[in-house]
Amino acid sequence: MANLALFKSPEQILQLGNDAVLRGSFAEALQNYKSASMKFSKQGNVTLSRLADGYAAIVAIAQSPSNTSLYHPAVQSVRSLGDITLKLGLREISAPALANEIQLLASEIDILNTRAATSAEHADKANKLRELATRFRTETADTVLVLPELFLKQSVLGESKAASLSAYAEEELGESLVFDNPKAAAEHYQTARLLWMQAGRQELADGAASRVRSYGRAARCWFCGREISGEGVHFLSMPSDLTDLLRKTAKDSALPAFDPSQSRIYACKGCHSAIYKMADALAMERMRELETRINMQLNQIRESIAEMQRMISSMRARMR
Amino acid sequence: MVCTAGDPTSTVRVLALRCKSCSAPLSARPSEDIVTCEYCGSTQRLIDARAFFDQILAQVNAWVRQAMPPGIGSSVTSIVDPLARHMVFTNNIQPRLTTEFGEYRFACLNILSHPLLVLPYMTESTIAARDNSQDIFLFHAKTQSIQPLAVDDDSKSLLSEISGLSVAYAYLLNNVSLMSELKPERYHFMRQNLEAAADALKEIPKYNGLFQRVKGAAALSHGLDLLTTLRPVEAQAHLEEARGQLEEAQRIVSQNPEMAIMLQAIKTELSITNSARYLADAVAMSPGGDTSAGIMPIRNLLSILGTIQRDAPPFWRLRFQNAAHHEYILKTVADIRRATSGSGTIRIISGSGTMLFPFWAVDIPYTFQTGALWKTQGVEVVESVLVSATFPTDRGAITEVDPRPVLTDVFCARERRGFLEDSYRRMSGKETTISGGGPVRDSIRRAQPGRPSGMKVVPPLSTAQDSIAIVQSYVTRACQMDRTIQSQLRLSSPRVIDMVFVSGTPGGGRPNVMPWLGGLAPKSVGDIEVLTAIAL
Repeated sequence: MANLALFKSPEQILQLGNDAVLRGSFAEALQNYKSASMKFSKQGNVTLSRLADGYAAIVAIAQSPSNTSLYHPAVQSVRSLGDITLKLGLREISAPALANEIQLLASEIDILNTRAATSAEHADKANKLRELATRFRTETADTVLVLPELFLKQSVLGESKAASLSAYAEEELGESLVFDNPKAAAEHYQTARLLWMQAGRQELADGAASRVRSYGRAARCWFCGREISGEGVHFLSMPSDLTDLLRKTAKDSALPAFDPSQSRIYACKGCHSAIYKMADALAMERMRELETRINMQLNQIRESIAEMQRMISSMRARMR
Repeated sequence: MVCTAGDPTSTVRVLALRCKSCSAPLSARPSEDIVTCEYCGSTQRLIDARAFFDQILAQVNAWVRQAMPPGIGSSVTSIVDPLARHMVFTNNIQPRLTTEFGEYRFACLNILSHPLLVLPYMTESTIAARDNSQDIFLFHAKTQSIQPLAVDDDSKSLLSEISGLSVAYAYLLNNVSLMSELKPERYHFMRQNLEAAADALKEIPKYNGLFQRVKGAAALSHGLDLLTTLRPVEAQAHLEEARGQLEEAQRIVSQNPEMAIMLQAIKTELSITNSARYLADAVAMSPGGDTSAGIMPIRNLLSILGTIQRDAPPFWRLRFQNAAHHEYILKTVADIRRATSGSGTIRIISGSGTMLFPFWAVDIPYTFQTGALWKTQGVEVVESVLVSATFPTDRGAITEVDPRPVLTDVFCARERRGFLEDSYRRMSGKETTISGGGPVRDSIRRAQPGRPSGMKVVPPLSTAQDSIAIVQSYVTRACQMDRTIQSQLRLSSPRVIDMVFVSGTPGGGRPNVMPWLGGLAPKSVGDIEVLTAIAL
């Protein structure tokens, strides 16, 4: 009975809200719960008004499940209901447990949305993710989370959420170390890879595996001979022409100075950026030289054109 | 037979006879012409092993010559001035060693992030080992050869770490290689490698967690060796020892961030240990005490599990590879053997047949929308399905072509009363369900704890979580196939109730199970030939 809420009792309207949730019509449910709350409030029934408010705050999340500003009022509202059992769609759950779940999900969104730029920020984010993973593991364990099932039609166990968060934490730890110790960063990405595999996320496991490969790779700089780990971060490969003789000279080192499969040499970030900047400066200088020469030639052409125009003008004057 | 080279106080001296195949030390009596490696099992002529040893010796000598500063030969002995030796070590040797060791340590940790053992009759070939044991043993020989140059405590400690971890890594590489083969004596060789690796690590305090882990893995491989040679009772003591050591390793490693990369692997090894214990229980309870006959279906089962996890599409592969997946199945195997031997029970839906097939009893609470205009309403229903627990052997089910044959298709069985009456009921909101699984719920209620009484029992090949995943896939499929279901079904949330065994008759490639369900009866329980081979 979806409509005609105007002439119904608040209990009936509350029931309409529950019915709309069963039909997955969360916007309609929200309207009904708000309306029921107002009517209960007018009747002075604080308990049921608060219950309707609690349901309204929960289904409001469906409007935008990634917006945590909707989660925090829901936590407050559900907590204020005390130790009662709530029915949400197909699940029954105690209000404190649901409030806790909403808070954990909100924290997850907040932390994952945090943009970490520095190593310290990555480390901080990793710690927060680890703490949250532990909370999911200990507080929701092997229960199916209510909100993802209700709003996103995803059956997510607390344990699998914990595994995903642990994997994210390992990736953040990896990022926090990549500038100081790329090999240690690669180890964290390796742990993340295994956790992603356990969580059944092959694409994320593959992404972590590619970081393991690049961060774990070490090379000797072709130019300065420094031994360095972390491809793409601390050393890069550059195209070059390598003769067999040049290839032979690198045989004795434990680390490669070039990629034998392609004609590319390795350069540490210092040498690479110096060469890059020098090449840039030379190109600029060359461009300026060319510009000067072109300008000189342009001026000469302009002068010639002006001279010819003068000649044409004087000839025209003579003809008249 | 041990070979030494040159002056015993010279830098090149600590080398033994080496295996041509893996470079591990060989022990042979002088009278023998043929020698077998205790670590990889390869057999070789003594003369070839000696020639190989000479080759290693030459390589080590060349390396030392190259590493030494000009003017100093490879024979720097302990009588040379300690300060000079220290300078040579710090300036010439240490940089070379630490670079190479850094690479090996990283590759070793990568290996250690994977479990060091695999269940019997299964293989593990996905571990990408970057190095081979010959290179690592050679590196170890180099570190041994320059020991006299390490004078101060820091240098000695560094050398001890490099030497210990590199030799352990070499043995672990042998172990990885054995994991990918189905050699009959592989657990014996694995144990040899793991014990040697543990021995190399025991003096290095910072690798205490790793030492405990490798010791635990060695005990586990000993237990598995006894188990596969049909001594399940003896195996139990070693498996118990393995569990204790792995738990201790887990405790130590969880407090050491540097070794945290091993944590997941240790958990997997603990799960493998539990699986092995269930396996030992099941083999010990073989019918008539005939362990060699009793292990056959279990052997087939493990081979099938290996095949399924290798061939499944990615979504299922990740689930089937999970050690907890195997642990659950082997626990059920032990429960079945207990029931068969009369010391336990399983839940059975009785009927006629010669074989008991496992099914997951799953509740599907769901909601659907019915009625039009002011009659629109949501209805909540609790439906039940029986899902064949052997569905992983049905290719169509796991490739998501169609999961419906492996379960009781309750949405297809919804009551139909003719177009007009159905339309009227839908418009007026009088529908109470959009599925028809009543007989299934009655069947599940009939399940009673019992014993197989002479019937063969097929073990499950899936877990409760797998059954939920296939039911979710079924609900999606049901919506795709039926527009009415798609337009009406709203929420669904499958939950496993129990595992039940249903009697049936395998025959003609299609089993005759639950004939009383008529069209609702599952059309497939997987590959009957495979199920017959694993029936206990």
